[in-house]
Amino acid sequence: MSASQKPKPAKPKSRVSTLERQMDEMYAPQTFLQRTTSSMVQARYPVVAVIFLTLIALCAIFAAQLAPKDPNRIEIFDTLKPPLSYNREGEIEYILGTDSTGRDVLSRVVYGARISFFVGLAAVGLGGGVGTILGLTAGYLGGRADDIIMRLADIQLAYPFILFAIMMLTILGEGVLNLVLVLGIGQWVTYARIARAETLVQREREYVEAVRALGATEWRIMFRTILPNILTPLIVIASFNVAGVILSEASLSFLGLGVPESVPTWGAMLANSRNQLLSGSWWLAVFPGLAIMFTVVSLNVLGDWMRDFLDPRLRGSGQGL
Amino acid sequence: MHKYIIRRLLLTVVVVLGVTLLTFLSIHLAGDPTFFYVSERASAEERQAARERLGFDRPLHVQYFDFLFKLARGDTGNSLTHRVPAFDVVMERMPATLELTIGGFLSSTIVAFPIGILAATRRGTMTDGTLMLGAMLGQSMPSFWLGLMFILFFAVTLRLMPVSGHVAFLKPLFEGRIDEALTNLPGAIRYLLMPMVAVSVYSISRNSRLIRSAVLEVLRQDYVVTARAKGLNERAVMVRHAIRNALIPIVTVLALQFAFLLNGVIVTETVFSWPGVGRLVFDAVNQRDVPLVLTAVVLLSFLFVGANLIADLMYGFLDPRIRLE
Repeated sequence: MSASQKPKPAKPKSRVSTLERQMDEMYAPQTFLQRTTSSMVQARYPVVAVIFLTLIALCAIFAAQLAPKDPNRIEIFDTLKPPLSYNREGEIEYILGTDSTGRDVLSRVVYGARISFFVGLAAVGLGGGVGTILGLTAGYLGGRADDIIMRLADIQLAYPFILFAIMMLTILGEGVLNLVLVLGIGQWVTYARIARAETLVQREREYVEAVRALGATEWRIMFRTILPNILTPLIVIASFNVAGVILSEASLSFLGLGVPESVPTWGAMLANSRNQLLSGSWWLAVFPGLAIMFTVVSLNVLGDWMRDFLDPRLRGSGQGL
Repeated sequence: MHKYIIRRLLLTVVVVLGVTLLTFLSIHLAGDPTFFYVSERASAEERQAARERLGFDRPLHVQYFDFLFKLARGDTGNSLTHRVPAFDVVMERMPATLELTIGGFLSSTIVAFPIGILAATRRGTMTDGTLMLGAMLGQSMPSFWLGLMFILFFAVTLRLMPVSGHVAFLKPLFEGRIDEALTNLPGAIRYLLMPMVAVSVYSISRNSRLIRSAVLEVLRQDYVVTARAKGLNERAVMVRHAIRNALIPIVTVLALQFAFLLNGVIVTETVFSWPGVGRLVFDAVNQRDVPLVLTAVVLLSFLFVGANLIADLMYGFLDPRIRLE
């Protein structure tokens, strides 16, 4: 292109073209991201939830950089300091106070985010994955496979989860992965039941018939044809489920099961706080609990919004809670 | 209908058998049950002798069937730690757990209905918004933390409530000592109050959200419009037409709530030093007390399965259109 070429004269602005442009803007296909953000901003609460969860996630990832102190460092001269207490130099040293061995509560809360987040996501990933595959198999194949899988689900439902968890963790011993395994096993039934019910519906649809007529293998029909069409409710369930798993993890840590004592978790902090309650050391019980509550509220708010956004049919069905 | 009940009962037996098998296998995988039974200085021979005396040297399947046959005759074997029949040990603690579970279940159901219905009828107003925000928060708090906060606030700071403890009510009642149960009642309620509320807040929140949406769903139906159009007052529309039909999905979830409640109860018992089955099982697992764990799990799963069965049978009662086959 030579420099001497004149630029094209601008189109004269006419009423029609303005209208056209407006129409174009109105009906322009929005990207998924645009639709998501605008729906989220409209609902307001989810934005707050996302901001809070991002903060917690940052705490989890950068705990080592963000925490003011080593969470396991014992300071025998600074035990049970209330929040915002001054040290000898007149500076505020422990923003959220210290516990009965002088460990910094703020640092432990920051580190505690790690276990909650990792265990929550990993257990839901495991339970959701296994449950979906089993439910899909049960729904698609029917017959013997269906009977066996659903009876297993019934047995598990008749088993108080906490008993199961206590037993498994006593057998397997402490460890984050054992915790993930036990909590994951605890979740599969929900996913299996929903995946099965959805598969039973989708299986009879024409598009599945069409794919079968094209000579697709059963395997391909299950995982490439049906699976993408049953995912939406499962994703909605999963978003609530992370919140539920974080609560369960806290309960198990509270009972002293799960991870070794040296790993700070919110549940274990609450368990330790119990002995200090009568002496009035309220900060030991309040802050880890607030951390759990705000995290879980945020996840629930996000789950609520996601359900309305992705699958309005589920609204009010009471599922996933 | 009868056929359905019989099938359901048979299924219940299958489920309970499955539960016992799973428990049996996992507790035996946990290690030698005699490890904590004999003294730590016991020689290998003494250990072996104890194993033979208790029957743990037999093949697993023999032990399992032996357990089942004895269970069918009501013999659960002696607890290894308490050295008395395991059934008695569990039943000693069961009333306290039931008090907490039933108390939590009743209070959560009774409180959730007005909240849910009020929110549904005032949909979109401040009342609805506030109630549902509260429900969202209530659903996000671990029950044991709520328990700790109650202790901190009502017992330690205000000194209104006892920190922990328990006065038996159901136990004397079950044993036919009605006078004693009645004299104990005020004390029992006083001690029950904080743990019960801690356990039920989650369920209240969950149930009221569910009741709200179930009622809203029904209010959209044509027959509600018809009922209003024929000039019925709002009260009759709500009670006779809306709520009755909204009950079906609610009852399903209420029965499942029982399971959730029991999970919460087991943890909350620890917070309030409540003498229930939860702590018992926890210790029994740690001490590999095989007969005690099996007995407790069997009894608790009966409770679970029973609650689900009742929910299933309630459908037919609430909605005659549902024919159970």
